[in-house]
Amino acid sequence: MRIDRRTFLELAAGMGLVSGASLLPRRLGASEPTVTDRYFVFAYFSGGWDMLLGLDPRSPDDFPSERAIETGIEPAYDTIPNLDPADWLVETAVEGMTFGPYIGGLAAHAERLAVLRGMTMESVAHSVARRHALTGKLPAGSSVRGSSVATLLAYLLGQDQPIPNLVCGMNSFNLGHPSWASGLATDTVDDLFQALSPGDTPLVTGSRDALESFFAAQEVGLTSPKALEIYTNRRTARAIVDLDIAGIFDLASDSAEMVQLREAFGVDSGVTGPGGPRALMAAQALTNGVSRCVSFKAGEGLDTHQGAEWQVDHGPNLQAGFDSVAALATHLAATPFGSSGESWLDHTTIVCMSEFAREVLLNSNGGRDHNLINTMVLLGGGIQGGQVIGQTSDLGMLAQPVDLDTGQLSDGGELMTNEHVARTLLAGIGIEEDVGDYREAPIRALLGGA
Amino acid sequence: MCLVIGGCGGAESLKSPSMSGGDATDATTGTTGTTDEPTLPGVTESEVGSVPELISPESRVRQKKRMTVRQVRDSMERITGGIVWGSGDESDWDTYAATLGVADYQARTSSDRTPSVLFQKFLDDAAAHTCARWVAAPGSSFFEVDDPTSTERADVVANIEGLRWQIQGRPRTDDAPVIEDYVDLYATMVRRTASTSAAWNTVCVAMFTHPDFFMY
Repeated sequence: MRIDRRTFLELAAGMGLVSGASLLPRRLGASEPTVTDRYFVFAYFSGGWDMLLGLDPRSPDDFPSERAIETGIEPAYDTIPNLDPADWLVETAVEGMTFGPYIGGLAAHAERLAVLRGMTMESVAHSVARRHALTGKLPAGSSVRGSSVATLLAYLLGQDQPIPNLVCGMNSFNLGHPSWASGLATDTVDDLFQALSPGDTPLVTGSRDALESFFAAQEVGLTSPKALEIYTNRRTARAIVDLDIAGIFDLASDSAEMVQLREAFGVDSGVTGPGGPRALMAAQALTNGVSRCVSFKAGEGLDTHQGAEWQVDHGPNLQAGFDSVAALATHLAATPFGSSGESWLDHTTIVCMSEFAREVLLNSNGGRDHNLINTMVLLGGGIQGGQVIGQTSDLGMLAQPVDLDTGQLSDGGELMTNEHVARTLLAGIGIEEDVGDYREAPIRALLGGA
Repeated sequence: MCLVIGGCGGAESLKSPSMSGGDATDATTGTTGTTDEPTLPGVTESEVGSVPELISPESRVRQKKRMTVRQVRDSMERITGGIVWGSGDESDWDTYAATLGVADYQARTSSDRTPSVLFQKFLDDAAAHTCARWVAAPGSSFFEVDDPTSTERADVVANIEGLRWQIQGRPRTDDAPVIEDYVDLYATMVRRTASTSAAWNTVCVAMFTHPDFFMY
């Protein structure tokens, strides 16, 4: 069942739930997207992922542990129990796109992947770096200086969706954009299902209408924006229940469709970890017309400073996250986008990110600490896949400047940051003006495809 | 020394207490006087700025805050004599704590205190659950009057005033216009359902989901 926001707003307005002004979203100057059939998924890997185990590996033959002091790089794959040397490096059909042992099912999508290597972050504190990654702007201390990129995109494109910006398992920020573009954030998919469902104790017939009339009377004469927001949020809380879309997110349902989806996303088997159900939620939200942007925590348990944690837990946790994203990409690729002849993946940009990466040398505990150098991977609509942009150095895996137009290393280029990526996503929908105030140029080499 | 912005004047000026220990020194003249009486400097209107006092000393305005999730949970349980929202021993407020932005001091170090969409949705659920049981409970503390089924205006108003006191902390003698709104709500539900318990249930939900309960 596809629900569009315009229908939602009309229903809500008809019920006296929403003021007319909110039907016309305010626009940022003259900036209008020229690509309006683009959707976005932000898959966040919490804790700082290990590049060597995933997106930017090194061969232990070239970088053996005994030379680690000299090279500054220590893959240490041989310290990971039960990891077959044949699995240390995962080759793909794309030249130069080799992955580490825990890339999981994402490698199968190599032709659609654009891997950014050698990005530079500006903080190794989790809360600060996380906010930087989500908003595309370095926070002031730990206070964000801008909305989440998802919020901005939802504002620009999501006026027709009932829940333009859906978030699960992570933060979302709205600084200065209309409240309807704010992320509806829950911790789990089940909480989302409960939020969209009627409560366990129904009210008697006629009670709901009477309550709406009562609260409408309370709102008369109020002028404080804060007070008015309370009543707006109250109406929205009722409206999302009245949409009757909770069933879309009932992952415990035994319907044939949901059973099939759970299997496809590895929910019942657990192979996709906690990211699996959230990836399924993202797929449902997009393909049922509920949301324009979906952000979810795909991977967790990655902050492995201790040796035992890094050796035993980091790889499997990382792979589970990649597998959840791969399942989402596979599902979207197999789902037709209306009658366009294209797939939902052709119209959905998926961004996989972590707040930073992990040191390329083991620490004294045999684990890995935080690293300012990072990687990112994008795929889907608007992304030129089958390429690696940028490259870490062979001495310490440092960031190197990149020509943003070609994606090749260039002494006259720039070090890629979160700001560049945020700006790129906007350029991808035709917004050339720096409406997010990122103050960096887009990475043109990333753009292309559908 | 006169501390009032905008000039010193007779009885309205705020006099600072004199320095303790030893003689007070006149800040203007540098002379020393006794510590028994404050020495007022010879300040005239022209020597003090003309900026008007922006905030009246009687003003005690601050922005209202939303109750924490724990405050809401504990308040509802205490008001209703221990009715827990949820099944089993755990309150659903605790079940949904992470979604409601309660700080766990690992991933989140500060709690979300906004009257958000999700907070109000779950508050509505909690109110419906709690009120249905509170109204129906034998010997319930819900009712202020002896006859819960009375539709006499005086009894209805008395009950509403009692509920406002219990739920929202408003004085019983507070002759607020909202009381008439609650009376209208009650009367509407009696007409629709012919049930006074359904009507009181609805009034109860309205009170718990009103900002007068969760904003302070």
